[in-house]
Amino acid sequence: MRKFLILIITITLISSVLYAQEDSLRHQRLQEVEIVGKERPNESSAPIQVIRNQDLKALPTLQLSDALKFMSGIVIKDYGGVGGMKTVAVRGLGSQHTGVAYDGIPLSDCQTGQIDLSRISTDNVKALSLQIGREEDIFVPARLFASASLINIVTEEPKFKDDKPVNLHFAFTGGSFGLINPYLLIENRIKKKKNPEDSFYAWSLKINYLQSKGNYPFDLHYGLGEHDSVSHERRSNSDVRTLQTEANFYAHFNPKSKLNFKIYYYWSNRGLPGATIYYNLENDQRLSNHNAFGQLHFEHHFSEKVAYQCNAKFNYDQTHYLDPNYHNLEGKLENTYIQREYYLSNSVLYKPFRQWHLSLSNDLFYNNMNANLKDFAEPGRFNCLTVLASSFTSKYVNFSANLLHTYVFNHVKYGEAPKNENHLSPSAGLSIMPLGKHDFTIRLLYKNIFRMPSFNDLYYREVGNIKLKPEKTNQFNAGLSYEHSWLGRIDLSASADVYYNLVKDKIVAIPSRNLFVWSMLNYGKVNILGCEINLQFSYRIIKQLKVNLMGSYSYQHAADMTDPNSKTYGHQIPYTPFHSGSAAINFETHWFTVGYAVIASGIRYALGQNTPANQLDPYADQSIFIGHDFNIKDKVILGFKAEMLNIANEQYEIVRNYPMQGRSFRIKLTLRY
Amino acid sequence: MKKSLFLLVLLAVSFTACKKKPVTPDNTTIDLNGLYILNEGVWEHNNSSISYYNLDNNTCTADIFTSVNNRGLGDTGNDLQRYGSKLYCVVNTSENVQVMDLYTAKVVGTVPLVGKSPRRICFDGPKAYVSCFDGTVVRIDTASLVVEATVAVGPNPEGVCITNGKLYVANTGGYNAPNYGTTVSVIDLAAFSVVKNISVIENPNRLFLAPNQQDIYLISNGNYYDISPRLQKISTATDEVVRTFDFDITNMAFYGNKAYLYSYNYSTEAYTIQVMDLSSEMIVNEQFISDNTSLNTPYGIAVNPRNGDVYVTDAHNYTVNGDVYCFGQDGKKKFSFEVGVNPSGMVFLN
Repeated sequence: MRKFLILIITITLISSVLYAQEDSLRHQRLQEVEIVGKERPNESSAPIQVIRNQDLKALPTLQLSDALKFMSGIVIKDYGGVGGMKTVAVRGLGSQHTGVAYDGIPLSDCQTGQIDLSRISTDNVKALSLQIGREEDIFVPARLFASASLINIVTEEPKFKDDKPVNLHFAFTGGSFGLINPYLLIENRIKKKKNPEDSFYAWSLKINYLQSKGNYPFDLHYGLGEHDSVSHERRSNSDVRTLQTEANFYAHFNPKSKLNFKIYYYWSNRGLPGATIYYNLENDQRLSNHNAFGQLHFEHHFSEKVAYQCNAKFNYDQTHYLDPNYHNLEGKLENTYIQREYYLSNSVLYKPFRQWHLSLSNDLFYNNMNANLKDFAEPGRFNCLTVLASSFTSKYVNFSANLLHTYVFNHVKYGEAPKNENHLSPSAGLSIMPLGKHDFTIRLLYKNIFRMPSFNDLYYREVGNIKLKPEKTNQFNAGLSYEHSWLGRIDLSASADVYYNLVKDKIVAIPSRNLFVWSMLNYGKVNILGCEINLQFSYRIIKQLKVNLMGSYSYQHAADMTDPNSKTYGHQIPYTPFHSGSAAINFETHWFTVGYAVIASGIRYALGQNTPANQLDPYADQSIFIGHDFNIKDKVILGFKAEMLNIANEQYEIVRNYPMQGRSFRIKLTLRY
Repeated sequence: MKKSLFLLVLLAVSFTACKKKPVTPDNTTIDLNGLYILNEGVWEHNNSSISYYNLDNNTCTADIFTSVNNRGLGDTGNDLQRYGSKLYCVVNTSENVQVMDLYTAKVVGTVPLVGKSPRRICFDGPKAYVSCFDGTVVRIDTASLVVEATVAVGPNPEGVCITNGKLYVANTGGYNAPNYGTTVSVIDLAAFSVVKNISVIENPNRLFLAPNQQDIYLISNGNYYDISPRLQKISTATDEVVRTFDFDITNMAFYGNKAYLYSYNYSTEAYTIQVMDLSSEMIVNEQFISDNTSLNTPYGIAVNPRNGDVYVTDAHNYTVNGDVYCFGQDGKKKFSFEVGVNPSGMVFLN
């Protein structure tokens, strides 16, 4: 029956496309020259993976985390469903080592130290990149140098065709399990006669609302054995509603000087479905968030040789947690956490020679946090980051090096404050183009960096430990990349990297006073040896048919080297697959685009001891789509995309006892004016 | 879900005729000389398990509950006790009591206690009593396995024991930390109502009926700050604390007229295992282990009533498989074996 339904839906979709064709709508393919799949800036000494807007269209993505799953070396800790938390760990380092920048300015969460990527939608994203090791562009805030890897999210700046003053973009996504996601973007160019010809003033407003019941079915297995019981259940208390709004102001006074200003507000309210506990699936905890920030970017190029930029931000975040059936005297547990960040960054770029660039950046930021917890420390942290970076480029060799200085001053309202930190972190990269062409590059990279303990690590009730030291990492990478185009019809890009990461003073939770009270300690040591292969290929077979292919493979051996006498010594650290990969293929024709994508992972372990009981099974999550954009009289573009996700209805978990969604459907309609 | 569980229970009941099977190499068969070990597992991992160690041939069945019942025990088994020909396991996060045949570990019934967070169990006549973190003690009929009555006690009750028609329950108040509970409630079993609250040191946790069946020993965990964990003796004649012992303690077990106590300090990760004489109430051996055996994290203690061997479990870092060490009365290690994660309770079959 279900198969039959799928067939009907597919036929209906195809026929509607054909019908639309006959309706003599003019169709036009958009931006034909864009490369599908990931792209690696070939000459970089640091591995970079990029997914552009065009690629996002051909991948099954609702949230940003969906797109990141197609990058190699990434592990998304996905708690399942639209409302489940999603954090990103890169190359075996904890998720707190992954920085996230939104339009050039870092997002931060001083409470947990990690960014929940389910908060960011993929609408209006121009490019999404993952940079490992080092910021390629040296003219950026110092904080972008201060994480082991960086996810850079860049949104599309408004572009106005001819003298069109307004752009409208409306999208509606609907899908299984009550998914409703309307999206509206309005862009307006402000043009006044007195403004100089080369100036540009515009504003945009973006509203994205999403809701999902999230009550998807799953199989609950009561054991690892073949004959062990299975029951069919539905996820409950996993509803989510989020609202994401953003206003942007763009003022380009002249080609030398520009100012962008962004105001962002996010609200969410969700149920926490919890782990699927045998015989007890009931949960009623709720989580809600308010997050607002304003950020400003100003850039001025004094001359060909000297440029200056300033970035500033204020961030407010409120998290409210409610357990309405907590067994304390009040009969409930209700916590509110508020954190703020004040951020100011100044950077100067100096290009004494065409081949040699120097930059100096300084970031000052202050975080504080309150919570309605008894005896909460009410901590504050002042950070001063300064980086001196330099890059040299030539026909055969590119070289870059930077030195980051970090000073951290901690204070608390109640109790004892952690000691202040003072660190120097060097990084260097070399790329060689032996043929003197851009096709083939050999790259080498070294980076030393650390992550500060989060406020939860330091202060959360009895768990926190103010004696914590930063968790330190050393990263080494060597790689090759090749990029070539034949006859303008065939494009190939391939790369391979080998890396070795060392983590010491890893921050882990260990029960220190009793079993109910765990605390954070600098305990672990991890050595990670890995390799990654990435491939993109596209071939225009005939004028009306182009095939795009992308694939990635990653091997990681992340061994716990903490204590030779422990049962986990030499074992793979939790939630890190040895083998993982992704592949996507799509066919573009004049009438529609169809595609297939798969994300796959080998075995992982839910705990540090690599026993069969702790093993999580391999999985492959496959999806297909069909879509097209219709261009009506060059004024309106109507688009649709229909997706079938997890087509094999694979029942799998990324986090133990947090099942992922099985087969589901999604339809997206877009209208651009 | 409910239906499938019901089916499982039905199946289990129909298969169980409570007969002792002959000893075969089949690991589903339980020999009479052995012990069950309850492994709590890690919270939210559904990996609580029961191991069985056969003392005749020194073999361990890592997860006998799953291999016999084709389903896992669930999340955070907190108490394992035998009563009559049954084995009872209180599973805290799965919120139920699994009732098994003592000799086969085959489930004969499940008592769901959803929303109550059940902790520990004790018995009297045809009834079982379970303390629940929602501030109650429930009475379960052991024949019908139906919850018959509920009585409200103090906050987050944990340890229970019964003597002379009275049930004693330790109100930890752990969910109100740092304002821990300071009472042990006394329930008259005939009326099934609280008749007295005994004042005790903060955070009362474990209760043990002394071998004389008259005294009750209570371990209060203290507040993990300025109040240390202490052993107290309650007289059931007066229902008062009659003595407080001036040493740190975590857990204890009895054999004859002796108590084997251990204390573990979570901050310093140091432990001691001592022997106390119950008549003189003096520590007669400050260092029970007499060879060079060393544990990481003692997590449970029990004595084999047949020969007085002392079993101590080691939970290591609480996320790896634990070990059980068997010591003779002389404090020398006899053997050890690996079990599941966080082994705590032990039940001997002899």
